[in-house]
Amino acid sequence: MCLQTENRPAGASLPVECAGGHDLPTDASLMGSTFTIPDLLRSFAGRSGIAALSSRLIHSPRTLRILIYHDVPASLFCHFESHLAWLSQRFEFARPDELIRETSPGNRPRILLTFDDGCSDNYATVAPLLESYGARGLFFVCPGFADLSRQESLRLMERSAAIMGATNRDSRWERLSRAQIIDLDRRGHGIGSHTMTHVPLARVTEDETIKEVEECAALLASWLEHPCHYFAWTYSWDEITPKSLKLALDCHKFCFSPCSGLNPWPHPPRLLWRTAVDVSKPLPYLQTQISGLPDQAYRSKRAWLKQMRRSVAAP
Amino acid sequence: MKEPEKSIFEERYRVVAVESDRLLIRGILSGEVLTIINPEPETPLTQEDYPPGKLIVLTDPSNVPPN
Repeated sequence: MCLQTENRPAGASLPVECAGGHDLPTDASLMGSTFTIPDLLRSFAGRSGIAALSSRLIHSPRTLRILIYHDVPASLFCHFESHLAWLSQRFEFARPDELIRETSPGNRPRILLTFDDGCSDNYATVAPLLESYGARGLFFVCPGFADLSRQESLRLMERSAAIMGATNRDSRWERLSRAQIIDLDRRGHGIGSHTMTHVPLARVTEDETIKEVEECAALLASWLEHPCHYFAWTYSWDEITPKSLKLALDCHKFCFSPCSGLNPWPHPPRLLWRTAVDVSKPLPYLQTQISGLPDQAYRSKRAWLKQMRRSVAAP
Repeated sequence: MKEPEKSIFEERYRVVAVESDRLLIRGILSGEVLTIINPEPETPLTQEDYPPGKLIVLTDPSNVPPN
């Protein structure tokens, strides 16, 4: 039996230039987005100034807000730029490594931007823009997708969707390569595990969980040449079991949930709350997302997860 | 969902672990774990040649043209 190896060159491209700079399109029809009633309420809260006022009241230098982004396609890059411009005026960007070393509160509330799934645009456009603001992101990657062909990547995604009882509609097959993951780490960004192949941990066997969490942490550690401190589970806030949460906490310093809430700073707990942001929606939507209103909706979910956290692991 | 049966030569594998005399690999789609014994013990397998996560394919020796 013979072994052959395959290597692919890592590619990087420049950030996409958008006409209008940081200006944000305000007409929904121009953006090709579908708006629902909750979206309109969020938009009202954002545009009326209620969200911005609420955001100022709940955030302080002793709080850490963590946002969840995913891919940022070229067509939405202007939105992302406007998010960063607005956030940079009101928050101090936290660096991922500040979570693992002693730090002190600054003058402004902290915000950490995280990016799930490890889509290739995170390397090509997102990271350079973050760096232009002096910020660093935390990228939750699935290393099982690194360097795969389109066909292989889509088949893995189909498998993950099938476990959820769904059909894959995700076309974002191009993910970060091993070389890009290593380069982001070298540039001061954080690399976290988002499971090996993006599976819902609450729906797979114990053996699968070990592969998806423990082996993934070991693989990333071997690529980065240091431990992988961060883990974020996939799908929704309740797609986690006590056993998988325990394993994740055993293998990583911090476990990031897709459950909105505000974290204390500068001594955050090991189970962290994150607020989802839809980059296809205009700025008022972001303002509402961090106004504290979604945090209220997630209150009972946080209590459920805190209870699970207490039941499984040492501090 | 169970993947359809495929030959081990139709899939790519990721290196899971390497020792001088064997290589542990996992199919990227099937998840199947294989142990490959080094056919040339005088040339040990190394981490440099087979770092964890590296993608490899197996070649059917019956299809390799003779020297």
